[in-house]
Amino acid sequence: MDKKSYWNDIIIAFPILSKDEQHFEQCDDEQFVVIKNIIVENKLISFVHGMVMNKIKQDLMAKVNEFWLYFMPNNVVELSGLKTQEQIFEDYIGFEKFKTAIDELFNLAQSYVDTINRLQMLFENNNRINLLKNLNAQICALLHSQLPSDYNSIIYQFYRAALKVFSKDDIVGDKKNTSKEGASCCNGCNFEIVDCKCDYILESFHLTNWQLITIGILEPLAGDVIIDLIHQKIETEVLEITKENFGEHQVSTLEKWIDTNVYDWMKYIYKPKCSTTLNLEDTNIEVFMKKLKHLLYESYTRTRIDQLFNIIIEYPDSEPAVIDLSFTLHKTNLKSELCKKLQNALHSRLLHPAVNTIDIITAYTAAIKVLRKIDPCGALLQEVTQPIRAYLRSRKDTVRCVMTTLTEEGHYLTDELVRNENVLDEDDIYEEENMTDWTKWMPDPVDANPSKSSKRFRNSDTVSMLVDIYGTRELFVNEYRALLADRLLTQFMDNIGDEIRYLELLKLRFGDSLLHSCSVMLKDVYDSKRINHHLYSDPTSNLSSNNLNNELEFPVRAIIVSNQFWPNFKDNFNVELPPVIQKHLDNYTKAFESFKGNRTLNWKPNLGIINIDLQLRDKILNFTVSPIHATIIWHFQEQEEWTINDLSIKMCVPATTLRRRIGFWQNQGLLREKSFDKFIFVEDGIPTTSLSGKGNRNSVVSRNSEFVYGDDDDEMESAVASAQDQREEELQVFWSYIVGMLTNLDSLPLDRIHQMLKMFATQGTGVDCSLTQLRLFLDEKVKQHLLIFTGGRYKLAK
Amino acid sequence: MSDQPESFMRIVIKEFLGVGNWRWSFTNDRICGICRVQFEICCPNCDNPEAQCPIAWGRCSHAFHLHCVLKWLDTEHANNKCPICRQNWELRVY
Repeated sequence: MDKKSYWNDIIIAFPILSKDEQHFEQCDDEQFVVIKNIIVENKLISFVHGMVMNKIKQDLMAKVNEFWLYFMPNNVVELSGLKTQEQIFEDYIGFEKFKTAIDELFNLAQSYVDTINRLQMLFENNNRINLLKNLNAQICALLHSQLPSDYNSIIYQFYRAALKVFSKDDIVGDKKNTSKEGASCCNGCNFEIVDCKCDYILESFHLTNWQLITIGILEPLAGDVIIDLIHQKIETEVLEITKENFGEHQVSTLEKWIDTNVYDWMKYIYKPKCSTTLNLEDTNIEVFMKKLKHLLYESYTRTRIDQLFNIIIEYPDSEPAVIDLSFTLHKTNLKSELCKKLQNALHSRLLHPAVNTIDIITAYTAAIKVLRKIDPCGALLQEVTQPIRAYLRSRKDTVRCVMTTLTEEGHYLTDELVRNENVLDEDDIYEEENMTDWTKWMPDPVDANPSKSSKRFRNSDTVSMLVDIYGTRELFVNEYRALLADRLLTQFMDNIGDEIRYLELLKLRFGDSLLHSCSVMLKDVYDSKRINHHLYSDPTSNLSSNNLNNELEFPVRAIIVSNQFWPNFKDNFNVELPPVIQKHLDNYTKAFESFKGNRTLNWKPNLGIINIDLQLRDKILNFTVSPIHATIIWHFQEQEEWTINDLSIKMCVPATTLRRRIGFWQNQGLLREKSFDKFIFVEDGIPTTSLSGKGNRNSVVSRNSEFVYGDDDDEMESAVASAQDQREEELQVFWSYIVGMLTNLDSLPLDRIHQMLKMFATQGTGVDCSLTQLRLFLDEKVKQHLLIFTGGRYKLAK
Repeated sequence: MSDQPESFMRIVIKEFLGVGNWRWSFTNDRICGICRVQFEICCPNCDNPEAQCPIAWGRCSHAFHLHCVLKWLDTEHANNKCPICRQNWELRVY
């Protein structure tokens, strides 16, 4: 046979090779077997194969450009500028285009299948060569070689339109449905409900996906788009569901959503029902779902991290959100982001001068609880709350706020104190504890800051964390002492039971020794009560025989303090009380002296409470005020007009203090500044702060002690000196040493004094004193003319 | 004295709640000669001041915390003498 007839046979078998394809009829299978033998005998397989493939390639090349024409962005408008309605319409056009394009491509590819199948038969011995697969690869490669720059937009439109239809019955969709009740548009395809295209879209979507899978270009062409759309979908879903709603568990809802809706969607795309041959294997989808779930956790965590500050503020109402977050945070790697973002939020929303210290403390405690839930080992907590602690340290009233809230009736921190009452954290226990249950030892998480790891810190409870802000407990104890003194002196023996309970709780936490003076204080108050009772009931006491019916007589009760155990009292000037009162006090002192041998009483006339009736011409006013206030008004009883100076001399009270105290009576409308520094009693004055402005004459009007300790009188705000003042007082201990030193050695430089004090004085007293503190102290003494400072040396003034 | 009939205002004191501190009378020294702690503070072995940690005065006019001086008198070389002036220690009773 000559070559010419071979070629004719080949053309009959593979009509694609002829120049005019349609001219030849297809040969049937019997004919093909003959031709096949001829080809095999003449070893023409690779030649024929090459020829056919080349031809197909050429044909495809011509068609590919046509295919991409559908994707040209000639009328694809920038989508971001469109309203939803228009976008959906646009999406629909894209949907149609993509469908047609894929349809054509599929038909084209399908037209080669017969040829390829025959070609495959030539290779029947060789199973390794799968020509159909090669063809698909070829198509894919050719498509990609001509890829236009923004081919994706059409694909996006296609899948978006389909996804919209698909997810119209979603969780979120449901809500929208109800709100849009009665709208004439279908929720899925946005066409009028009467000619809703949903079914059509789903059907053609199905078909197109099947075509894509059959050609094998679903993944290469649309894979990115599908994943991207699903990501977007998940993110919007998470955002929608978590929007400022911390009171519900949502992770399970989202998981369910992804397991059903998204899984269905994936299955719909990758496993069209009609296709039995080529599809993704089950495991592939499973793996993919796992990735999607991770993505879900991640976006959930991210949204929650953004909201974490609010979650903390709303804790414990936001507990479910916290639990969800702790669950997802462990599945993602976002701890450092949480740390950074939360710190930023704290800085911008909490740690600035506009926020009250008490609010910061509240937020801090909430943060402690939340972060402990999220990360039980405490590393995160330590890292995040570092700035809060630093900031609180810079606020002056932190200690006072903490101690006030800690011992305030019904405050949540008090509950905390009570709840953890058996948590006595002794600093050294931890090492041993670790030894006993070493099998449970866990290393710190990798992201913990190794330089700051302190087991003690991480294990401690909320109250300890608050107390540890300053790293020292003495500050808090001193503040508590001042607070307690204040409370005891102003509330006068009420609530001692409560105070004793708080003290016991605090003792568990701070230890007995630090709070010793507080227990002495409480004992003083308790004993005072007893003494008062005894002095008035004992028939031998000179107080018991007093006739209280006499108008000038009144009962005197006292809190007898052990001076050294109480904080130093502020402005310790000796007010000259009216003689009547003084007489009563002396009486009391005598009774006390005879009751307690060898002991006597020093009154502190600036402290205490006095209850007086002001009998005016037509009414009686009742006041509960401090002795100073009472003394002021007392003097106006004898003389209608007083200048500040005269009154100051009479009462032995500094004029400035006096003026401030007079302000109280001015507020009550009983005193008026007639001319500068000259006050006059006015009977009919109207109180500027009208507590009882009913004008109910002839009745006892009671204006009470809240005024006495009201904020307008800052000096009375606290009867005792603040912790800072006390610190200076503490240094007073050294004064006798210093005087002794300087008497013997004449003059000494600062550091010598410091050294000698360190050597002799600090051990016994337990008071520590730095060089700067000592210098300040000595400078104060120089100001008081007790020391002379010359040539860098201190000397006693003579 | 304030009982002037034509007074436009009269003040009646109903109750006085005062604050005062107790201290030991009859002492010139402020601190115990033995433990060097103020008398109004208890001796180092006590928790509470005043009644639970009283002061002992000697006829020699020196005063100590009772616990302190008893502890001193318990030692061998005390010989029942005042630790400051070495006179015989006798408790003075007021």
